[in-house]
Amino acid sequence: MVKDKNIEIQNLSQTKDNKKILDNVNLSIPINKVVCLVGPSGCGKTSLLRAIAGLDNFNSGRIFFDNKIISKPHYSVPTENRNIGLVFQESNLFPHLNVFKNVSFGSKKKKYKDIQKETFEILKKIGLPHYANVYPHQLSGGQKQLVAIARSLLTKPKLILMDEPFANLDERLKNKIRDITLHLLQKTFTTTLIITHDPKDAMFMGDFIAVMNKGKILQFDTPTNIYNKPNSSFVASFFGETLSIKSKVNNKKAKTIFGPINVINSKPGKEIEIVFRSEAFNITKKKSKNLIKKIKSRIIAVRYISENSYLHLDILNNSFKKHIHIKVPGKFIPPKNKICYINIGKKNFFVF
Amino acid sequence: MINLNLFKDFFAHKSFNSWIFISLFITFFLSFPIISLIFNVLLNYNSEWNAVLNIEIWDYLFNSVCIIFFQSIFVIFFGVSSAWLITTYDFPFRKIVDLFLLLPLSIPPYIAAIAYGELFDYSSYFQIFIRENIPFLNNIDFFNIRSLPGVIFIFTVTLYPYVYIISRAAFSEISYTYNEIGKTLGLKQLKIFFKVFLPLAIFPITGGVILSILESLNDFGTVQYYGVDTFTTGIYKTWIGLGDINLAAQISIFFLFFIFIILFLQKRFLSNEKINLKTNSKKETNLLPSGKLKKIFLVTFCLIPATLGFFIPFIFLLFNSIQALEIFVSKDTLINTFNTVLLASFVSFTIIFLSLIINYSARIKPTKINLFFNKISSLGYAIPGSIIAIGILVPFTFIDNLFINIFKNNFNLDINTFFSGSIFVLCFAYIVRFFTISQTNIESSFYRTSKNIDDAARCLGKKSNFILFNIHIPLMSLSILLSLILVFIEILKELSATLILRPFNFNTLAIQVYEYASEEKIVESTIPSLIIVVLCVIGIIFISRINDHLLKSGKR
Repeated sequence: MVKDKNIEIQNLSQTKDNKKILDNVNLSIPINKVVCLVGPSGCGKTSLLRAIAGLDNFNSGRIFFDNKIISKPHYSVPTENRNIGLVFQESNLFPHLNVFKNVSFGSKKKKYKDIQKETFEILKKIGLPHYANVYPHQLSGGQKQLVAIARSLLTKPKLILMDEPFANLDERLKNKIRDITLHLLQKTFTTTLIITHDPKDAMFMGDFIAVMNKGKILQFDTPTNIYNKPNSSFVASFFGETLSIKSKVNNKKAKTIFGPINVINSKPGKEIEIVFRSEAFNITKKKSKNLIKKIKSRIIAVRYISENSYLHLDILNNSFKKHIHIKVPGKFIPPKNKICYINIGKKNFFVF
Repeated sequence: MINLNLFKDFFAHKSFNSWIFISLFITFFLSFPIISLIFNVLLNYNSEWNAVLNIEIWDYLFNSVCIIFFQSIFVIFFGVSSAWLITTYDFPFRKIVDLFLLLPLSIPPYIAAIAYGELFDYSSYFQIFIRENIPFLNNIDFFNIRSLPGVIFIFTVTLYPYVYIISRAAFSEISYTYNEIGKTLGLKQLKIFFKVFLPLAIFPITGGVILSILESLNDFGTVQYYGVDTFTTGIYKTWIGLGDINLAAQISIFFLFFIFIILFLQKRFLSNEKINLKTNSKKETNLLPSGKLKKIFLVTFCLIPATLGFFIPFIFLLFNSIQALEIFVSKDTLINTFNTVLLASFVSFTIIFLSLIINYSARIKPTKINLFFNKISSLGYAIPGSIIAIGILVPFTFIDNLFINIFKNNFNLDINTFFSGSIFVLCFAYIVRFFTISQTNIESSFYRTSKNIDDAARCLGKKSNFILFNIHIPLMSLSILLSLILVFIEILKELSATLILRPFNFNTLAIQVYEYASEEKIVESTIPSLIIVVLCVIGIIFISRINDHLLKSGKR
């Protein structure tokens, strides 16, 4: 799928204290693209990033930059010679240096004039040219993060690694900084690997998304495919709230409380898991006699959030008592404790 | 303690570099006195040991245990209570009282001992004045300060600041939110202290108490002057009096064992390192207001230890030194001052340099063996100066004798001793003993700098040396200065190791004080004492300023 390989990671495994941190990871980061590595905390994202940066060792596997091997067990090009950028959750600007000195820290230019020119160019790109003489503690969280990104970009790295770069920012600021960062990366044609635990960040930033769990990469694809064609229940549930039902295949159909569901590709008798997104449900007032059953539920709470209505429902079925959330487009605010019926549409559920 | 895994871990890092070898070397250097002591005792076991063991060592032990026990109680009382009041209540002159509480650090116990010894002497001006001028006090019997209780008193008033500093830092570190939570749960201020703050700070507080204990165990001047035999005087007597260095080494080992038991007990039973004292809320604490009477009480209460520990001895020194001004400008005093300051500066810079190397190498390659080095190298402060001195003296005397014999037999030359009695050996002892002070400071400031900073710099293409000099050293410049001053002050005051190791005809100010005092030339002794105290006071003022600054910038 990916032809212009910039960074190629092959069969990377890492064990620490008899615990597998990275389990046979394979990943290609295409040139000039932004890849988001997303997964729950403790899944090995940061370990992978540190291995790529050459800050940690690993047990087996190889890492290539431009088809040249740079890391394998017992051989590692030192971090300082890899020409990569690294941006952390806390910006980690050098607190004793001002913005100008921070940004120009990695400059390889000799003449002060060249350094100055180079630094101000990048400061203009992040919109902070007037902050050259300001010290890090005088900057806001978002500005610090931009300066940290500028500091890495100045050395024109082959690859920029970002470890949860937006995690410390509040929602509104995060959207702004995320936007500036994305366009900056696109303008400077920088290959980037962003680590995040927030699927929204990943969908927003990534040309490609890699989903990781328990040291393994589960799926690597475009954001659209990740959302619409998840390859496992974990990936499906990571990118939105889901309800999962276990069932058995019988005559190409699976029984659920919502009625039988067509499953074409599964063998008879196989245990399957059906995952419903919260958009999969429809809500009606009346019972119906269709094959797809309507299930009696009680409305516990309703909240109207940005053009969508979120309904908290208790399913009133003796064999299936669950609390679920349903997303309904538009303003729909039924009274509390009202009894309603839900069924499922044809989209937004996945069979594994 | 050493297991094979350490070495496996060490060699597994293929890229281990010169940093580790240098820190290995430094650690060996620093643990050398203890190693040599242990070897010496194993090789030349002295059977006279039993005799000493039977009679004297139990006396030493009894006295030392008594001192430790009562001193701990009083030091905790003064140190913790004043720290709690200073960090909790707002009262006038709070800042200056805070500084006053630190000042007894500038008075070495032996100088306080001389001052109080004089004041409590029947024939002193002070007592004559009281007898003659205050009629109802003319028959009073002052208590005999030259006794075990007297020694405990001296150690309490001069050493409580160790507990004060540490508990004050601990109390201000504990988030003020706990205080607020306690109040919303309906607890009185005193109850909050006993239920929340004291248990949370118990480990650092006992750390401070142990520091004060180590200081008093190290002390030679006070116990000698007051004629109370402890381990330190025992070691000194055996070495100087009996001339038996092996026996001295054996007593030292026994003593070391005793100290390690204390350290072990603290770690074992009181460690709560896993508890995080900080919450994420604001750092500033709100001081509680207090009424007029309470304010007066608070100021007076906090001034008591400061007065006993600093002002009384200091005023004593001032008054007496006026009578001996000619000594102030004497050649001896000038030379000794110069010697002391030069020696202290040289050693403190060396110590900072070494601890930077050890800590930085542990940072860039945090292998188990490196961390182990770090631990070992910081044992020095636990070991009294006299023991370090013996530990150094034993092997160097051996080497010297070897050299002398070689030269005599082969070249028919009579040479002097080469190492023992040289300034090198003295510096060595200082470095071993005071290394811990800068080690802990610099370790914690390295610890405060996120490792991501190093990683960021490495990703920008910078090598480890460059990172040390351009990032770490500028970042921790204040901590470095702080350690420099702390070590400097300690060396100014050092007596017990200097007494054993000083070169012939080489005196420090502390030695000059000791010699005058042992000749009962008290007035003369006040001049070098005053120089030590004034230099230390200047240092302490600097320290408290730096500490305030570090507190404000959130680095501490």
